[in-house]
Amino acid sequence: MSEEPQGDRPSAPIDEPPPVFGTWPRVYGFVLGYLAMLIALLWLFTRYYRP
Amino acid sequence: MTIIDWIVLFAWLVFLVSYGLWRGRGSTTVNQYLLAGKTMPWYAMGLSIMATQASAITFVSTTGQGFVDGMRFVQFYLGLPIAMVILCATAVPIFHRAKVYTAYEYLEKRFDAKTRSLVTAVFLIQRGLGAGIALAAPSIVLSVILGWSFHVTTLVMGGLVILYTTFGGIKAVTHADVQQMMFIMGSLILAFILAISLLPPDISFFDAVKLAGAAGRLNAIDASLDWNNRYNLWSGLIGGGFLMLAYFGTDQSQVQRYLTGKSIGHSRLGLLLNAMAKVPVQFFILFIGSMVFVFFLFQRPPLLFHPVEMKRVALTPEYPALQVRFDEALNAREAAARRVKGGAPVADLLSAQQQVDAVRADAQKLSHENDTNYIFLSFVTRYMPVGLVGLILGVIFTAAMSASSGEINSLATVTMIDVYQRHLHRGANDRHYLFASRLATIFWGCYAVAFANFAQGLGTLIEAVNQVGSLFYGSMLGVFVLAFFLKKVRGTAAFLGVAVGQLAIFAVAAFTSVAYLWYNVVGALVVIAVGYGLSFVLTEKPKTASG
Repeated sequence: MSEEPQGDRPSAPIDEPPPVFGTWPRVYGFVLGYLAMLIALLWLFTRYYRP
Repeated sequence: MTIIDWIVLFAWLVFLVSYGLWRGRGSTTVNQYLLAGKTMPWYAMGLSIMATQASAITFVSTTGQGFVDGMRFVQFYLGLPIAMVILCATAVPIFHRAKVYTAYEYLEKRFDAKTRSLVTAVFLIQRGLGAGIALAAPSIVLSVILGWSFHVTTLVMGGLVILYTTFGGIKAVTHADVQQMMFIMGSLILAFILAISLLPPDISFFDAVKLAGAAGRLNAIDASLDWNNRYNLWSGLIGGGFLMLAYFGTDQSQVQRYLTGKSIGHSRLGLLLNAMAKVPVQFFILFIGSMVFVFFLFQRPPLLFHPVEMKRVALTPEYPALQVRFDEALNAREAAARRVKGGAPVADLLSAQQQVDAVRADAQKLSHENDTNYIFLSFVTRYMPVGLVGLILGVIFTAAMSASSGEINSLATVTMIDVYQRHLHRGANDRHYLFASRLATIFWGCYAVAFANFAQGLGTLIEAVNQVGSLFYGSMLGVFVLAFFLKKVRGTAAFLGVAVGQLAIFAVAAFTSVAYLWYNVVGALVVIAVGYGLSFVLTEKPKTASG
């Protein structure tokens, strides 16, 4: 049996568009692209400075 | 430490605790106390999440890892941005819309009470162990550096944490974390600048980077696929990604942070700030360790960085011969480094470094403590200017408090919401539950101090216990994947899935040499497979979760 706990509950959430890029999926795409760029830079860094 | 350093250290502690108490004032309802009344802006959440992860032991041992092992540890965090994106798209809106205080509360809405209770128990065991270790591990290091007894260090640290966490709740914890994170970064930047400025006049920054690379300290990416290699690109992206998904998606110490957000959008932005900043920050910390390594190519390091162990080893009959070998190896290494700077091949430097490592390894056989955690602190206390030493040690001290306060706060929340309110005392008013939350915070704070003092006696077992956390995340992640994505799965199937998944992780840990990051993958996949498979066999009534 499921019962709601008593007392004060968190308020209903507000969803809103992101401040940049228009939609959240585009923001996620930007973050994943940024990760790909970081990995590429770290790989180049490793190759350039390897013994 | 000079008197000025002590004044700076205490001033910083007083400032941070006072600031936390001041910002945490007015937490007069359970919602305000546990979720800050959902008023937190995204940047405060993001910085707080980063501060909680950047515990003191991470702070000192990560720079030490950069010194000893190079930069490959940065790969551990490569899965984090992927995990943050997945959680922003799934867990954040689901938890917000379910209007829950804890992640485990959602499991009852989606499955049943027994699944919620099982996962709550797993969390309390895992985090309960972690809370003591979070105090014990940095206390061992700081007590050596500050010259305090271990018990005094844990008592001061634990007492301050209990004070501001009990009175201010999550608001005090989050606002203290924001200050903490900014001072951590400021201190690290100063340490970096100093390490570079203390290099010999003929060694430029670019020479230092070249020498670090020649000594194999700039090995940031290893793309080879090796299941037993703890840190490579694939274990970081996949194993690390699963670990981060589990940590941020199912661990109340993190879920609670993003549930304090003003809106779903603010919670998402807080996590995405972490996604974008974490890898560069870790890179920077490891890079500082590499620069400290280069600094010690030209500045004579001690045989052991641990000051107490160094004094002890110096009294052994083996010490004179070790020191002679060490001096010869250091001379050869410095000469080789200067030749590499002039364009010579790196073979001589690598060979000389092997000699240095061999002597240090022989010295560490005579010691009882891990030396890596003392490398950065030794650098700070020997070479930093007066005042800055106190500030950096203060920041490391409060970094330990930050990690501990987050854990105690989340343990208190789960104890109050998922145990006390759910099973022991239903239907009381908000004031009663607020009082119970404060009592739970005091209980877990005292428990952490007591366990830390017990854990000290475990010696090297502390590291083993520290890794125990990774034994539980896989099954916790698996059950939330079932809850979010596989609507066919009901309570009993999920419950059995968690139980079997947990046994599978224990079996992999006990009978294979698979690196621990992969436990999370194994555990999650077993829970999902068993839970989903059983959903075809068991007939249970459907249940609708809100959100």
